[in-house]
Formats: sequence, C-alpha cells, structure tokens
Amino acid sequence: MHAGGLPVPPPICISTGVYDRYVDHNRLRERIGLELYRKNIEDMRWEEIWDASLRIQHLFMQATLPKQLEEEILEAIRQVFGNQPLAIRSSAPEEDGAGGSFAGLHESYVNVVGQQDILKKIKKVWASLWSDRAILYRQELRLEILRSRMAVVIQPFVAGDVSGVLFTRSPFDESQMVLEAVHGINQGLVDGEVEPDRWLIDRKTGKVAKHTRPEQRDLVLLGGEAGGVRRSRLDQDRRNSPPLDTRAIEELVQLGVEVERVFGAGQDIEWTFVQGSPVLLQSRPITAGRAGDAADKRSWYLSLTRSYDNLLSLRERIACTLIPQMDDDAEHLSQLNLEELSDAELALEIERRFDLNEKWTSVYWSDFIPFAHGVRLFGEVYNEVVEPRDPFEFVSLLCGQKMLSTRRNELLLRCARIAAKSDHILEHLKRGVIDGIEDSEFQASIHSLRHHFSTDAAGIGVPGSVGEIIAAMILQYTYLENGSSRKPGNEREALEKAFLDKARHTLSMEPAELLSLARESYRLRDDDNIHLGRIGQELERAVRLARQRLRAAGKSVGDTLPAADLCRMLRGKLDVVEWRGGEPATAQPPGRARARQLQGQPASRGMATGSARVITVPADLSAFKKGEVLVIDSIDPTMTFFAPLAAAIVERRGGMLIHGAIIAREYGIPCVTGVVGATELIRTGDRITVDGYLGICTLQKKNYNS
Amino acid sequence: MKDTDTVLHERIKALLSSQPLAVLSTQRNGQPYSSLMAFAFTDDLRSLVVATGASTRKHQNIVMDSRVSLLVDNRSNREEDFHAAAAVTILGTARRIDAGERAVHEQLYLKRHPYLQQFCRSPTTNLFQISVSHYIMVTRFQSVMEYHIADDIDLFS
Repeated sequence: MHAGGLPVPPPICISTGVYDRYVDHNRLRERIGLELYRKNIEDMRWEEIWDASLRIQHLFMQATLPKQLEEEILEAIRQVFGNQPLAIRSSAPEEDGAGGSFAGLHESYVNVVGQQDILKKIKKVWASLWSDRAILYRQELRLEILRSRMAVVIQPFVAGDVSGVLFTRSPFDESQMVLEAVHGINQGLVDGEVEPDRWLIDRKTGKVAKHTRPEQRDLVLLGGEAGGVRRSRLDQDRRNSPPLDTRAIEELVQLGVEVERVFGAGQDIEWTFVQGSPVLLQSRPITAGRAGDAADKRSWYLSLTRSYDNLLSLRERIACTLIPQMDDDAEHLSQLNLEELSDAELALEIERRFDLNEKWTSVYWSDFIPFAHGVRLFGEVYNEVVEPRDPFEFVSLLCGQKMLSTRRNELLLRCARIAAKSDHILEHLKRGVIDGIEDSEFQASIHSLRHHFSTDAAGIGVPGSVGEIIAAMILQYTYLENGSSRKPGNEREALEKAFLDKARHTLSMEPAELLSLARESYRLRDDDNIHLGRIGQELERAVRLARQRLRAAGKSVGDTLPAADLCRMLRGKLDVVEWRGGEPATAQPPGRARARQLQGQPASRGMATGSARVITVPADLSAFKKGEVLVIDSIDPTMTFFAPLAAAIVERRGGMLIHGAIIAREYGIPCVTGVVGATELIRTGDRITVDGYLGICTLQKKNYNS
Repeated sequence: MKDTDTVLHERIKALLSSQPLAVLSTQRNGQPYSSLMAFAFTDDLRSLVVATGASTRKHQNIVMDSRVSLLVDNRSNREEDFHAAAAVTILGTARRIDAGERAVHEQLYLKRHPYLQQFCRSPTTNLFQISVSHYIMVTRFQSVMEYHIADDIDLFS
C-alpha cells in the first residue's frame, strides 16, 4: 500500500522466515505436533482445541528469541521508528490467499511502547497463529495446520479521533460498500466490544443508501499514556453525533476506490482519521464466497467469545433474573399435587412442563453456555499477566468453591452417617429402597436431596432407578472416611494475591471483578445443570404418573414413549402406539483387538489404579463401588455424586473444563478426558491405571470375556 | 463402520507392507540381542519369515530360545515422528524350516526381497517361520492397541 502511494504509515515487516527461526530455535514444531495430533483433529471438540491452543500459545510465550535476532529486530525498529509507540499486526501468508478471509482471526496490538513490550507483542502475534479460532478455521479450510507460518507488520501507532472498517464490496450485495465507524481507536470495533455506526453506500453514486445507528454510543477505546489501550466513556456531545459526517464518508469512499484499484480486488480496509485526514492502517482482500460456508460451523462457537462488558451484563442477567426465575418455576411445579388432576388436566400439565423444559433448555444454550466463556477469558488474561509455568494454573484459583454438586455430596455423606448407625436403614438401603425408611432426620435429608439437587434427574428415562441409585450411593458413602472435598490451601491464596498484585498495573479492567466473574462462570457451569435438572425432573414426575395411569387402564406404554403421545393417549385420542425405538446396542463379542493404552487429556492430576466401571446408562451407577474407576461417555453434574467414591474418572468427551474434570479436581482424584472410544474399548472389570499427569489410561485385561 | 478388529488388522498389515526391515530381538543367558532383518509375512498376519546364516549369533540364540520379538516402524528420523510415526512390536515363537517345506516359505520371502535370492538360497542360510502370538501397535506417541493372535491374555505367558 505504501509503495502504491496510499496514505499509510510506513511499515517494516518481520518475515515468516523469522517466525521459522524462532520456532526452530525453541524446537517448538514437534511440541505443537504432539499437542494437536494427540487424536484425530476431527474428533476434537472445540473445547479441546481451545485447551490445545492455550498450551501451544503458552509455549510461544515461554520460548525465547535468539539474542542476535532480538537485537536485529530492535535495531531495525529503532532506525525506522525511534521511540514512537507502535502498532504490531499479524500477517499470515494464508490470510491473503484465495482460501478464505482470516480478517480478525489473528491478534494485532496497538500503542506498544518499550523494547520488552515490543518483543512480547511480536511473540503474541506469532502465538495467535495458534489461537483456537485460527486452528479451527485452518482445519475447516483443510490447510496443513503444522505448516502455518506468520509474518508481523510493524507501523507507528496512529491514535485517530475516529476509526473504522470499510468493505469496498458488501458480502451481501456487490453493488454496495459497507462502512463502519466508532469514536476513538479501532480496537474496540475490531474486537467486537464497541458497536459501530454502519453505512451502506451505493458504489455507483457514492451516496449513502442507509445509515444504522448503534443502540448506544457509550464506550470509547483510546491509546493509554503508558502504552496499551484505555477504556473510557464518551462525552455527551460525541454520544449524540455519528463519528463521520458526509464529507468524511465521501473521502473514505474515494480512498476505498483507490485501494481497490491498487490491489485489483474488493478490500476489507481498516482506517482512522487523524486531524481531519484519513489514514489507512491495513487492507485485506475480501473473500466472502468462502466465508459463507466456513461460517456455518464456526458461527455458534465464535458467538461464545464474549467481550468483558457483555459477560458482566450476562452475569447480572443470569444471577438476578434467570436462575431465580428458573428456581421459582421448579418450586411451583413441585408444589402442584398431580394426583388431583383429571387425565385431561394431566395432559395439559405435561405439555406445560414440556414447554417450560424446552424454554429453559434453550436459555441454557443461549445464556449459560456463553457465560462459561468467562472462565476462558480469565485463563487467557491470567496467563498473560502471570506467565505461569503451567498454562492451566488459573483453574486452581477457580476450584474449591461451594458448588451445588459438592453441597449435594455433603448431604449424601450426612445421610450415610445416619445410616451407618441404624441397621433398619442399612437393611433398606441394601434392598435398594429408601421410601420405607422410618427416620425423620434421614427422610428430611433425602427430601432435600431430591428437591433441591435434582438427584432424580440422574434416573430420567429409567423408571424406578432413582431410589435404587440414591440407596446404592448412600451405602457406598458409608465407606468414606472423609467425604469433604479438597481444602483450598494456602497455595491458592498466594496465587490469587500474586495475580491481583500484578494485574492491578496492567489490566484495563478491575482484576478482582474479573476473578469474581470467572469464579461465578466456573461455578455456574456446574450449577446450571442442577437448576435445569429440577425442571427436568418435574416434567418426569408428571410423565411417570401418566404412564402409571395408562398402564393401570390396560394400555401398553413403553418407557421411551414421547410426552406428546402420552398426552394424546390421556385424552383418549390415541390407543396404541407403534413401537419405534431400537434395541439397545448389545456389546460386541470380544475380538482380537484390545486397547492397551488410551490417550486423552490430563484434566486432573494424580495416578490411580482400580477396577473399571463403565457407565452406559444412568442406572449402571447403582452398581458403582468405592475405589472403582468411573468410565463414562459424558458426565452431567446431576450424576457426579459418585465422584468422592471414585479412584479416578475417564471421560470420552474432551476438555479441561468439563464437568468430570471440575468435580475430579474438587476431590483431588485423577481424571483423563477426551478418550476416544472409552466406553467401548474399556470394559467393566478391566484393571485400569489412570495417569492424570500424562493423560493416559493403561489397561490390564483380566480375561477375554470381561 | 468397520469394527475395531478389522481396522487394526488392516493398519498392522499396511505398516508391515510399507517396511522391508524389522528389528529382531533374541536373547542368550538373559542378555537381549537385536538385529536388523529383512522379513516377509502372511496375509492373515499369523506368520512371519526371516532368513539368517547358520553361523550367526541370532541363529544360535533362536536355536537355544525360540521366543522372539520384532519391531517394525515407519519413522523418518525427523522430529515429526513423535506424533506421526507408527510402530508395531511383534511377539512370537521361531521355528527353523525343514527342507521339505522350504519352497513355500522361500517363495513368500523372495517375492518381497528378490535381491536376496543368492543369500536366501545359500546352503548355509536357514529360514525361520515365526508364529506370532501378539501385535502391539503404537501410534500418536502414546496410543497403544494390541492385536491378539493367540488366546493368552498375558503377553508374557
């Protein structure tokens, strides 16, 4: 652009060759290979890719520049820019290739000041080649991920009054340009934190076809005095006025045409205005055609990446509105005496509960799951500020909280303590019965368990199994010597203090507030399933009654009959339902292939050996014995009451922050997640050693029929 | 979808097909001893064939203790081997092939290694058939699957 005579700050470029020198000097290439090829990348969930990305980016930040290279870079910068604040931008060769648009995928930093920070930001740009989003995108485009390289462009930082982005051709309508602008510098718009004014411009006439104002103009990002970015609030005048006037728009449109002429294709341009004149910051070709299909899978995942402000308001909404509402709903449902309803009323009630369950399940996906991003955001910030040796050190600041699941387990332990003193209770428990136990203290605890902690949700779809599971668990809890979860040690407090001290000077947000947000995000990730489970178990209660009534009336009703069919039968509009389910899959006879060592992610440290207990349906949990290794497809927090009993946990679903991993860390037991084929390759009774450091499970088969 | 048995059988076969050489381990008085060997194998993976001069140490070792192990791998001797290479450890028992059954084994061996004809047909070269009991395949650095030909669950029985 500079060579093309466009108004752009003179750049220097650190080529991909320098990236290669850095990677080779630190022997990073195979470390990345080992991280990404732990399993078939197509089998990795996006959470696992985030985990791998965190580890890889951590490697980049821990690695060192060769001394000579460091001096070469700093000398070149000194000669061209002196001591000016800098903008340090990514430029991956693939970015501008025909494959797809990488705009915004890799990091860029503005207002970088001081040698140490310059070097750090260059490393961060290189590391951003391995962000979760960048890995996902390259994988979707079927690029050879390990061959990826990154160049870095360095320019003087231009602190404009008004900044924005111009697409010279709209992805939706070739005859229009799209112009977005914000007050202040561009970072807020590019990161999605500040909502811009948007103009659609007719390419032929150069006139504005449509202007869309943001909901509010409030936040503004500015260059900080000591470098970095400062967040501030707009004054009243600028809140009320769009960042661009007609003349400025015309100038930008003219510039867009010019840039397109230089590059010969539609461009995605970042610009800023300095003292009334437009300056180009960056330009990339638009590759909208590809973006469309690649966006499908990514869009949901990318939508999870919420800005800090967004997360704060989401927290408010979840804690003050959604959870209380959901608990209210559950409470109302639990107080209704279903027995008094006529069949037609029961049908109506089932429909109401079904709709409520649907509604809250959709809230779960739209609000609760995105809020879990708070944990990841904190992890990224923590690693940047603290630069710990272990990239997952931040998790130890989040665990040890009172969670619903650990409170429920304490209640189970209390039941076990009562039971241990009473032959009458023990005898009932051994028969798998809890209803007939005559002990008011015991029954009060059981009531609380079932009512507040949705323990019944564990048995959904398996009638009669709930009491059995609870009875079996309490019986096993009587063998526990100390059921309390791992105490947060002094270590945690020391880490917290170190983080807060360091963060105070470097973060643009309040560190204690961020930590509290992350803790709530971590806790809610587990708690929300238990809240939601209460609605689910209330639906189940009504459905169970419907089945009983229909069966008593001589109708043939399967356990998996959908609620809608049950309602029609209750109303007498349906007599017999065709059986539509399939037989449950029967285990394959043992063949010649045996798993010896299965690889996953080390999600909770420690090593333990025990007999494997493979859980394929919740009812299997009633057979779970203290000291066994739990092997499961995926754990729901409504099922984690076995955790204090387990020697270790192995989960097929992958991630460092999934429920199995969270509860395992709470109890300090080893956990390996993301084990492909875990529930098929491991059989109940196999002797299994779970290594929570290496992330592997080693199997010793007893005989061919186990 | 193919079952685990078939997939593993095919993977092992593909690895053996891609490699002309294996490392053969024998032992004498508890001292392990490794040698690089050309090998051939049957389609059902039950048998391997190797050849060696009658005066070699490995020959003497096999005669004294027929239990052997072989290692076949596709490493390229570059860093990326750690995530990309596959290796299979083979356990079995070796048996010297008599003159009467030599032809069929020799054919299998020379089909893979025609350049070794002179060596193979020397009166001082013996062919050994190895009956495989187990394959242990390692991929992705730490993933290990076993393929059992024999019925013993314990590899070291």
